[in-house]
Amino acid sequence: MNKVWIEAQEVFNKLLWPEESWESWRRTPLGKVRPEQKFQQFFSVHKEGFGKSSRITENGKAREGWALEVHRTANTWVCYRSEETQQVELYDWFSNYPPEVSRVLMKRIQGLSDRIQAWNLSYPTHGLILKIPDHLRISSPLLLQVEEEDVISLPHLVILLGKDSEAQIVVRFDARKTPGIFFNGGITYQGEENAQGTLVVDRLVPSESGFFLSFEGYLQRDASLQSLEVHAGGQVSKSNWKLELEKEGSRGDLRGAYVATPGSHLEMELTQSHRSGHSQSNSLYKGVIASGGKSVFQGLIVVGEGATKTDAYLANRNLLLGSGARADSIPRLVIGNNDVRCTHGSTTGKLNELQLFYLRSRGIPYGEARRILIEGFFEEVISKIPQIYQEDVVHRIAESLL
Amino acid sequence: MSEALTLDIGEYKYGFAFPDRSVFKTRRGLDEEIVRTISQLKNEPEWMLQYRLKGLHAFQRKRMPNWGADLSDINFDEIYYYAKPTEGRKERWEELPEEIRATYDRIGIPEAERKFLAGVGAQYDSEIVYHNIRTDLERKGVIFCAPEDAVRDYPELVRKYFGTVVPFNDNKFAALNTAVWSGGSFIYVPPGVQVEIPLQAYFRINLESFGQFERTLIIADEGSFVHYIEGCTAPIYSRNSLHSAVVEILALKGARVRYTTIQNWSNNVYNLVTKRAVAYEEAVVEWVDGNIGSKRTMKYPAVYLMGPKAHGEVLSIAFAGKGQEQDTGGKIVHTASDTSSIITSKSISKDGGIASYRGLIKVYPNLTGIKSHVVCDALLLDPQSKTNTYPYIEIESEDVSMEHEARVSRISEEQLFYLRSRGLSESEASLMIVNGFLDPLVKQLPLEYAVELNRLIELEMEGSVG
Amino acid sequence: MLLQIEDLHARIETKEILRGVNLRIQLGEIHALMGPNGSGKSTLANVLMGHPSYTVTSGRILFDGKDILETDPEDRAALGMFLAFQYPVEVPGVTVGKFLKRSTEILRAEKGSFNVTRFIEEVRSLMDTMGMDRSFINRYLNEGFSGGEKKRMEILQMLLFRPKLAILDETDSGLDIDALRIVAQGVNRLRGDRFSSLIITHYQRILEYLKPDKVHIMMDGRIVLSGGAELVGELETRGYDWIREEVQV
Repeated sequence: MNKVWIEAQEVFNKLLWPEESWESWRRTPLGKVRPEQKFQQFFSVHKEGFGKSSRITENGKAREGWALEVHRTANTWVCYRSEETQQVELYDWFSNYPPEVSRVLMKRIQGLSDRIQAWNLSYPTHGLILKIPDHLRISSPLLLQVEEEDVISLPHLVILLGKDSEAQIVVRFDARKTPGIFFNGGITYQGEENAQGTLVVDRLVPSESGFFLSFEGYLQRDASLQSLEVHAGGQVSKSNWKLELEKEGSRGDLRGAYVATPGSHLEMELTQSHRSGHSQSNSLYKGVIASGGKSVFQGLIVVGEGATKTDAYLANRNLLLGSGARADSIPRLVIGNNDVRCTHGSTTGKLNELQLFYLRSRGIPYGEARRILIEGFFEEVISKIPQIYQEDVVHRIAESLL
Repeated sequence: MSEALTLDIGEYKYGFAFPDRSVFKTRRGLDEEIVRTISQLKNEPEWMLQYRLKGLHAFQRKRMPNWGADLSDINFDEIYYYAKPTEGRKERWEELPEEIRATYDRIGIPEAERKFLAGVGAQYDSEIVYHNIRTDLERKGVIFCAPEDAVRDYPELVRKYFGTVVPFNDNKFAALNTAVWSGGSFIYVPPGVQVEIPLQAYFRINLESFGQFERTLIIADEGSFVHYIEGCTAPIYSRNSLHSAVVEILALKGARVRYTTIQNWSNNVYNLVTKRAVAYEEAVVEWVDGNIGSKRTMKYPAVYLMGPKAHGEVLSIAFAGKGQEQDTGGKIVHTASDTSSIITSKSISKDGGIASYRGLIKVYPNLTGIKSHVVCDALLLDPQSKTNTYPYIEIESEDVSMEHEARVSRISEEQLFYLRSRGLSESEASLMIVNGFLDPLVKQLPLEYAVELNRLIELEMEGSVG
Repeated sequence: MLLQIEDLHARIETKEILRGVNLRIQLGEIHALMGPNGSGKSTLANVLMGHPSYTVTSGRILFDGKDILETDPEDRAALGMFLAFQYPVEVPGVTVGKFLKRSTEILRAEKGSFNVTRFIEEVRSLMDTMGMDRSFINRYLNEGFSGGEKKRMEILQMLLFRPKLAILDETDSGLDIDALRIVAQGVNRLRGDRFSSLIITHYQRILEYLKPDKVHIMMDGRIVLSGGAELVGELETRGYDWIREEVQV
């Protein structure tokens, strides 16, 4: 066994299953997903034991528009590459990966405080490590498409951007074929000095499913990350997205787009953690909540005592459609020194009647006018992701609201 | 540096104390016997005793809050829960014992009463020692008295409303207050009566390791108006005292209530207060909550908007200096359509003080025309100080316009330099910027209180260099 | 000699900006300081007023014969120095009236006999002179002011405080011709044997209204050329390059 997940299991054993009386869990309908029960079932689902390695097969050239594609189906990673991504390194979670991966994962594990996240790291069912070598700058996006076939699925992805590298990565978890899935995924990201990353995480889940996702990213000196998480559908969904601005000059631009469909509970926790001076973070999470849907956004800016000259902004905008829509917004600030500029804002409202009327007065039918306004609402959130994927996101948002 | 600032006092002005001359005091700690003793002393009806006992049991059962300010060094067994300073209640200052009179003289109460108050209540440790209201208001049917007197003289009003806004088991400290409450104010304003001049209560703790648990109930009947002001001070002791009040306000249809607090407890007082109001149709409730003193404060004045077109407002000003933690904010719950609310919070942290804003905006389902606006501004004066913002926004209706903004800033070097280049000393420039930061809020206070608040800020800023 | 700058070196953080400035201004003189962007003109203005972000590494500044390098900004103001800022900072919550009253109390000698009524009359009449609405007295200092309004407020203060030396840091930038005339009239009002001014600008226009006694050209943190008013015209026709060539050789 790998020492990384032995360490993770030790942490896991020390932690407790979350309870609804805890502040960060009191809004989550844990009764509908029962992680503890799923954990007990876990070993009967994965009888042969987790830790079974998957093959990575090289299979030709990526589709036009993509620099690299990795698809996981039937327990195999299939990889397609363009010329410019020949140097990109891929490892299966259960293979011998390079020591720098272990170091990043150890950092992640030592910071764990949540048992569901610890479960993902200590008993992963599958996982992939993607490493962009130093100085490699890739112009087209990379796609990691992971099909989830097990009813209890715990993937973990590690993304490392080497010094002075640049890449745009789209991660897509697809569990449409697995009704009732309990998904507990994790992503760990490290941007080395001056690495410029873009990361889009998207998921497709059936309506009866429990979905947990945790992301943690670490940025070194002058590194930047632009991220977008997209959430739509599923019964109960909770994501934790945390960016650690570890070194001076690091920058994060964190975005979220979400749709709480009828009957779904969608929860997002976002942490912008400034640990060094001259770091910058900016977040914008926008969501549409349909009648009968519920969203919870909990944002947090933390500025450490030594992190002077930081500039942090956090914004959450909710659009409520229909009278049974519910949105909670909790944008918090925890500021430990005075040489900072931190602001946050939260707005919640409904579609602008005047805009709707204007469009309709120009002959656009009600439904279409609504769609145009909703797409417009999301525009600023998705504008910075790889163009080739923008349409997918817009399409899925529109689709989920039909 | 030029010495433009000529403040004569560098320390807490109200830190003086007189010896314990209580005519009666319960032993330290709290149990059923003590609750019964308090009730007996007050000659209470059985229903109030039973209600106190329910409070006691809830207090014993409930856990300490696991959030907010650090309360770990409160020792409930160390505290005196009741101390009676005098026999009976006076309506003339001259009748008060000399030391108590001297205390209020130094705080400036009789003078303030003459100048701009319509009625005054003064509480010394557990009991209201002085009470007076202008006769013209009395003739109009305005009741302003100690709650003990209200239990005796207006039992139907008290039974109807007491504990309806803040139930006995609302939280650990409200339960504690229910069990051992003593003193406070009872106010009833009849329909349509406008009390144009403020009523004031002044709360003073004199004893060490003492707990003050006043209880205030304000009922503003339909279309009436009242402004109530409270001020608080205490001596500086090495052992901590506890102030745990409950304030309940009912603003009936079309009524307007404004409640202003200038809290200036000494820095050994835990100030853990539950303040809540309900506003019925077209009623307006405004909390103006200034927290300058205390060791730790946890206080979030709340307004439940129960009828259409009701409006709730919280203005919160907090100053967290050395060793202080101000955990303050406001809560608004919209339960009816066309209701609106505003929370404005300004906090200043200095010398390692911690100021936290904690607030809630909640909108119930199936409502229309809801508007809410929250602004929190925090100013940090030095690198050791901290500020936190914890706003909770829970919306369950579509037709809502909710906006929340928060900003953290510090005194900028450029502002200081600008003012200094115009001849102001560094400390005066800092003070001017701090006052400017608070100005939009202070403007909304009655003049006398704005002056008082400015003076307190000046004291807190004394000797500080941006 | 009112102002005497000797071999002044100053830096911000680790960057050296002033590299040996020499300048002398007699009481009663108007000097213009010109030079391309980034040559150190604004730094000089801020260093003269004692801005804490700049560190003077060597050299001297004498004002009225007194070395003021260790003097706090407020005390420099009390000595009779005034800086009209290039970008006057906004101070929310502090009204113009309150601020002006306090500064006037400090900066005018007649502290004991400060007369509020007279003061308000004076401010009002200055506002009229500067073409500012009287309601500005109740507004927060510089908050929401347009660029031109901020500049006029600076000149108003100069007229109110009557300094011995007024340093105008690009007060003319961004002003339309009317505002520019008003600003220049303000300076001309104080002109006389009790008043000096150092006018920092990179436009010639303001100098048409304010005939300078001397003109200095600053480049790379030094004054590289000084002359009379005729230098302005020369700059107009020939630009800065010829100076650079001449000096560097």
